[in-house]
Amino acid sequence: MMNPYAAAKPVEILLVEDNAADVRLTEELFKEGMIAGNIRVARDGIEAITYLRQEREYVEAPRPDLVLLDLNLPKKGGLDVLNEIKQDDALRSIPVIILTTSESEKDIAESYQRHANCYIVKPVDLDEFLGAIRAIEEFWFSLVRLPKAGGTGSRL
Amino acid sequence: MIVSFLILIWWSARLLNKADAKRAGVERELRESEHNLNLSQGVTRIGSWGIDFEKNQGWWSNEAYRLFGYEPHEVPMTQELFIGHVHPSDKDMMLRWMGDCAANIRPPAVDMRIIRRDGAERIFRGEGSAYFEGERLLRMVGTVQDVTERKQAEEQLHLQSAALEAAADAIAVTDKDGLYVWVNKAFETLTGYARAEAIGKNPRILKSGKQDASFYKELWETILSGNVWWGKIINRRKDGVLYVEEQSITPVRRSDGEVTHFVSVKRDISERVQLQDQLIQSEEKWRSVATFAPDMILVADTNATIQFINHTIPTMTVEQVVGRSIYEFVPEKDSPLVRTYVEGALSTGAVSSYEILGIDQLWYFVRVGPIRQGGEIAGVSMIITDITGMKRAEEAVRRSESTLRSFFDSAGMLMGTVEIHGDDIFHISNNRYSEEFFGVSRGSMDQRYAGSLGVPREFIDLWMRHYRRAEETREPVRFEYEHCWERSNKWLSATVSSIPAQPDAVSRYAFIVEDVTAKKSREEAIRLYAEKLERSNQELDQFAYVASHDLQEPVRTISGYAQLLAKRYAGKLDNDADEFIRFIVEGSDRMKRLLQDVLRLSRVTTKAVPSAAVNMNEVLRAVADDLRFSIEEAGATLTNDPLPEVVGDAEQLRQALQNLIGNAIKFHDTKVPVIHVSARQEGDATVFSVQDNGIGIDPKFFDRIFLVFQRLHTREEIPGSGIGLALCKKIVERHGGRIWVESEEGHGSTFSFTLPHRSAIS
Repeated sequence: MMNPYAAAKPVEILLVEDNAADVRLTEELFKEGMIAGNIRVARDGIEAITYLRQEREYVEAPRPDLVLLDLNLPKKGGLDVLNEIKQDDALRSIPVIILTTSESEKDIAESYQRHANCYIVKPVDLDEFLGAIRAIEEFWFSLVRLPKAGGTGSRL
Repeated sequence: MIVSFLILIWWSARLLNKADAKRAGVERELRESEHNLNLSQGVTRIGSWGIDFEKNQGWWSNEAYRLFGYEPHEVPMTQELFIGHVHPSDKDMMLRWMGDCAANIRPPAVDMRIIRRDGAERIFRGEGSAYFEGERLLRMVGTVQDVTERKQAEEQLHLQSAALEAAADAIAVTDKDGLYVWVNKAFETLTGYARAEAIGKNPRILKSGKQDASFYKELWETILSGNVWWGKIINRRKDGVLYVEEQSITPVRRSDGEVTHFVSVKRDISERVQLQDQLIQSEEKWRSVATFAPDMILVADTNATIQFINHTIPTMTVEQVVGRSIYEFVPEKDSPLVRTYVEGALSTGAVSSYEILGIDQLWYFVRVGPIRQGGEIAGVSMIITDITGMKRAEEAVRRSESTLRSFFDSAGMLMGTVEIHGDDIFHISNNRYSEEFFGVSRGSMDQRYAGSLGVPREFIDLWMRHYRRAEETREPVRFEYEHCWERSNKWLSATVSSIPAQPDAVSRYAFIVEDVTAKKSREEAIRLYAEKLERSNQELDQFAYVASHDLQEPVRTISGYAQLLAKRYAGKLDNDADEFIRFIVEGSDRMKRLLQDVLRLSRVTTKAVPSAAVNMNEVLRAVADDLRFSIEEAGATLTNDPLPEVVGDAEQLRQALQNLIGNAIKFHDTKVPVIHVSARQEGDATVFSVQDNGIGIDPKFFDRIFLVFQRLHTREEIPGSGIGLALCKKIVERHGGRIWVESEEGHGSTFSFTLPHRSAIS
């Protein structure tokens, strides 16, 4: 079942992940998925914020429809990144999915306190991971209605 | 008779005077008469005399001449001749008597001493009468006789009578009928009866009733047969008091042999009897004292021959000892010593004492002293006391003391006794270790003040406080402190106690001090080590967690890409490549699981200590739910007793129970698994058991199966990582319990674990 909007406009996903192998694997799994999307990658917390605020080299960068945020990041941790996003009026509306290997109750609790939209433990098995990606696609890009890019949170 | 005889003489003389005229005729008559007179005077030995004051002539009869030592008419009788024979001392008396006669006073007869012609002194008795004519004294006539023998006999009789009267013994004379005819003064004193009361009475008045009839019968038979009776009689005084008299009764015989009187001489011997009784009693008393005395009391004569001994050593009789020498009972080596003492007592009266090991191997204390009789040393006495018990007790005390002393001195602790004098502590006694501690020579610490030993003021105060507290509480007081002084710093563990004493005595205390410096530093080292270990364990857990967590990333990468490879390139490369990829996939999968297991294991301890109430029935229900498919697949039966509530971490307990039940389902042979979960109380804990009918476990593996990653079967036989039981063990131990297995190969296994009761976890 194809996303009705898929053909119209590819979704923009910001993947904040420092592990190149994981980045590629995630990209590969999204390729196997149902929707066409552009996956942009930030390799650390600072880069993620820079990207989102369209600063420096990311001035032209598109605003993501969804952020997949790892917690264990160099320079600026995932929770700090989440904090900044959710305290930023312009960015707050972007759904942030925590996608991490941490099963820590503490991480889960703190993530939701900082208004993470959901928390997914990265499945270890490839098929399960693929299942998770597909679930994300299905939920966030076909079931859920998201605000239009640059909507309430767009900068002037 | 004498008087009438004299009158006759005088009458004859008068007739003679009147017959002047008829002289011739009468002369013959006169001569006859004179002759008769002389004859009679010769028989009676009475002489007669006369003085004619008118003619101043005197005359003596023949007998008178003979009495004075003359032949009749040998010389003319004159007043001078007569006076000349009177004893000079009696002359005055004689003249007075004559004067009395001349004064016509009729004096009694006079006894005077006469010196006879031959010089012999005799006593003469003279009597006389004076004749008057009107007032004129005409003549005196009288008699004279020698009364010397009679006088002497009278004198003697008087003396004897006075003697009897004055005798200390009571004397009584009875007639042959037994009636008193005479008693003396002593009799009155003895019996209380006055002489007048006694005379004429029967001696029965003294009868006490203490003697029976046979006694008196024997008495009478004796004296009536003329024999002297001698014996003791208890009589009764007039005042009723009884007394004992010693009496002799002697019959008095007349010259014809007939008994006319009895003389009884009696003496009050009550006192003597009493004394004798006392003496006997005293003797008995001392004898019984000696008999009952635990000591041996020995009396020997001057030759050291034993005369008396109250009792002897058990192996000998008194008879064996008496009559033998003291020295025979003295061990040879001690003989000279004993001899010295015995001879000392005998010669100088010295009293001495000594201790001796007797021939019976018992110890004796002997006192030796003289026995005096009338100031003379008559023998020697010994009092021999068995002091073996005392000796042994002394020895025991000595030994016990030296034992204690050696404990005291060999103890590796400071020990001693002290008193508090003012504001300092005075050391009474100290053991060797104390002296070493203070660095002083042997014995030099006794009788010294703590202050003078260099103990700082603050510690003296500290000690004094504790001594006082020990005294108040009457309990030993323990305290520990760091004793810092110039020498070194020492940790001391002290116990002080007050030594019970009389209320008015100075309080004394005992101290025992252990130098715990080394122990302290060991304890400190152990504490540090434990801390380090704890930290190290935490670090290890942390490490295990972090390592397994971080390792998951690369493993996931490998696994993910291997799966991706397999997915996209299966059948597109050659067969080897397919197989290699499969190995990578399988290896990385296993590694993932291992890492997950390690993570789970490390999470057991990295989580907080569990403390919530857990209903084990619910836990079991959840487990059964989780394992539903496995149970159904194996056709297993799972039953349980009602399970109690425990305190802990519900999730961990679920994991533990799930592992055990999971294993029970997994490890079975051809039989359908039958599993039973039970619980029982055992002391402070609840024992949970999971029993199965599975393949069982060889006991030699009992320990190994609880170690992490230990497997008894290949993965091909039975899948699993080998983490399950290690996890169970860690969870149970985390909850303060223990886990174990009972099993036999082929006969099922029972895994049991304990969980402490709620109250046992603080």
